[in-house]
Amino acid sequence: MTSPSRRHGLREDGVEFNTGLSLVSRRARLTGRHPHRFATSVAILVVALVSAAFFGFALSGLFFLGGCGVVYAIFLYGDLLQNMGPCAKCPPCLGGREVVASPKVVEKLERTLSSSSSFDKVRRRSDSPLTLP
Amino acid sequence: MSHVRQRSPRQSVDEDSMASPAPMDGTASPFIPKKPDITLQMPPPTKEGRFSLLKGVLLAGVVVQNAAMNVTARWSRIEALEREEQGICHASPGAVVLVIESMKIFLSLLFLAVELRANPITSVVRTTMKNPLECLKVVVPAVLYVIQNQLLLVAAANLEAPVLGLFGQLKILTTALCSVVLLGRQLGKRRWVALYVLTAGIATVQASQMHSGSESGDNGAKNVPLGLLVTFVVASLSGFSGVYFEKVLKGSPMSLWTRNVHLALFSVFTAGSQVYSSPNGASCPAALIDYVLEGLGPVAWAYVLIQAGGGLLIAAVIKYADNILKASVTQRTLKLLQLG
Repeated sequence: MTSPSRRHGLREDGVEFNTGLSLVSRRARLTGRHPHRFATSVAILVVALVSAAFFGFALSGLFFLGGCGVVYAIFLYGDLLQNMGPCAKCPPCLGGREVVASPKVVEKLERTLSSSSSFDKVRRRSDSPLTLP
Repeated sequence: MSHVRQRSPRQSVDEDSMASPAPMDGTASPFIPKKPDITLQMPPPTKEGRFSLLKGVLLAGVVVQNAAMNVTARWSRIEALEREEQGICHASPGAVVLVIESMKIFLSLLFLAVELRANPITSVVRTTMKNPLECLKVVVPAVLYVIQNQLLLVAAANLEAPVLGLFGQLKILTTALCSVVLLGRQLGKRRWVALYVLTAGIATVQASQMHSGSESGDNGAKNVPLGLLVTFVVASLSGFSGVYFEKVLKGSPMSLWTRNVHLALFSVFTAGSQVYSSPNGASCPAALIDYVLEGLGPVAWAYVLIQAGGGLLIAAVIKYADNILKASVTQRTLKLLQLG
C-alpha cells in the first residue's frame, strides 16, 4: 500500500518532492515533452530489426552499443528519462529528476514546510529557485 | 484563469484522489500540513489536457514514418542502381526532391484551403504582394532544404538504413551547436552530457561499420566514411536552417501553410532549375515531366509520399501531442503543489 506521504509526493527518507510529473508519467512516462524524439528512438530500433530481418543487416555488438548510446543521448537531451523508474534517482545531469518551482511557489512551500526538518535537505540554487535531489 | 481551489467538474477521479490529503493509515504525516496556505493559479482543465488516443495514433504514425523514411531512402537508391544496370531510366536525387516539393505545395494549399475555407491561391498571392520581403526570407532555407534532401539520398546510397538513421541524429548535435553559436543560447550540463554521449555513440557505430567490411547485406553500395561525411553536412545544414527559422522567421504574422507554400515554391524553383540544366541520361525522355514520371520507380514514389506527408505529420505531433502533455503536466503539477 502506498504510504500517505508518498501519495502526496513527499517521501520521508529521501525527501523527494514529487510535483506531479510522476503522475503524468503513469500515462505518458516515456513520451515526455518531446514525443517526436521518443518516436525517433523507437524508429531507430524498428529500422534495425527490420533491416536485420529482411535486408541482411549485420547487427554487431559494437553497433548495438553505439545505438544504445545514441538512443540514451536522445532521451537525455529531450528530458525523457526523468520519469523512468531507474533513472529518477540518477544525478540530474545523467537523466535524474530535477524539479524546479517558481519563486512564488518556493516561498509558499517554505512557509508551509518550515516546521519540517527534512526541508533542510532540499537544495537551492541561484539559477533555479528549488532543485530537488 | 481559474483558481485551483475551485474544483472543475472535468477533473478526473485520479486527480481528485491524488489531491486528497487524508492519510491512509489514519496518522497525519509531519510533512503534510493539514491546511496548507497555498493558492496557485492554473489554467482551467481543457480537453487538450488529457492523454488521448489521438496522441498515441500520431506517435505511432511518426514511428512508422521515421522508420519507413530511412528504409525507403536506402531502398530507392538500390532500385535506381538496379534500373541503371538494366538500362532503364532512373531519376536523379534532384528530380526526387523536385517531386517531393511539388507535392508539398499541393498539400500545403489543401490545408490552407481547409483553414481559410476560401481559395488558397488567392490568399497566397495576396499575402505575397503585401509582404514581398517577408516572403523572400525563406529563400535561404528553401535552397538549403533542396541541397539537404539531395545529400540525404547520397548518404542513403552509401549507408545501410539503420546506420543512416543513427548518423542522422547528428542533427541534434549540430542544431545545439548552432543555437549556442548563433543564438547565444546556453545549454545545461545535462544537454552537454547528452551531446558527448551522442558523439561517442555515433563514433562507436562508425567503428562497428568499419569492422564489418565493405559488403552491405542489401546489395547496395557501402562507403561509411563518405556516408558519415555527407550525413554530417546534411545535419549541419539542418541545424543551420532550424536556427535561421527561429531567428528570422519566428513571430512572423504569416500563416504556417502560407509559409510552407512559399518554402516549397522556392525549393521547386531551385530543384527544377537544377534538374533542367543537368543531363537526363541516355535512356530517359527529354521532357521534364516524362523524365520524372518514367524515372521514379515504385519505391522512389513511396519515399516521395513519406517525405512529403511526414513533415505534416510531425508538425501535427508537435502541435497536438506536445501541447496535450504540456497542458497535462502543468495542471497536475500545480494541482499537487497545493498539497490538498
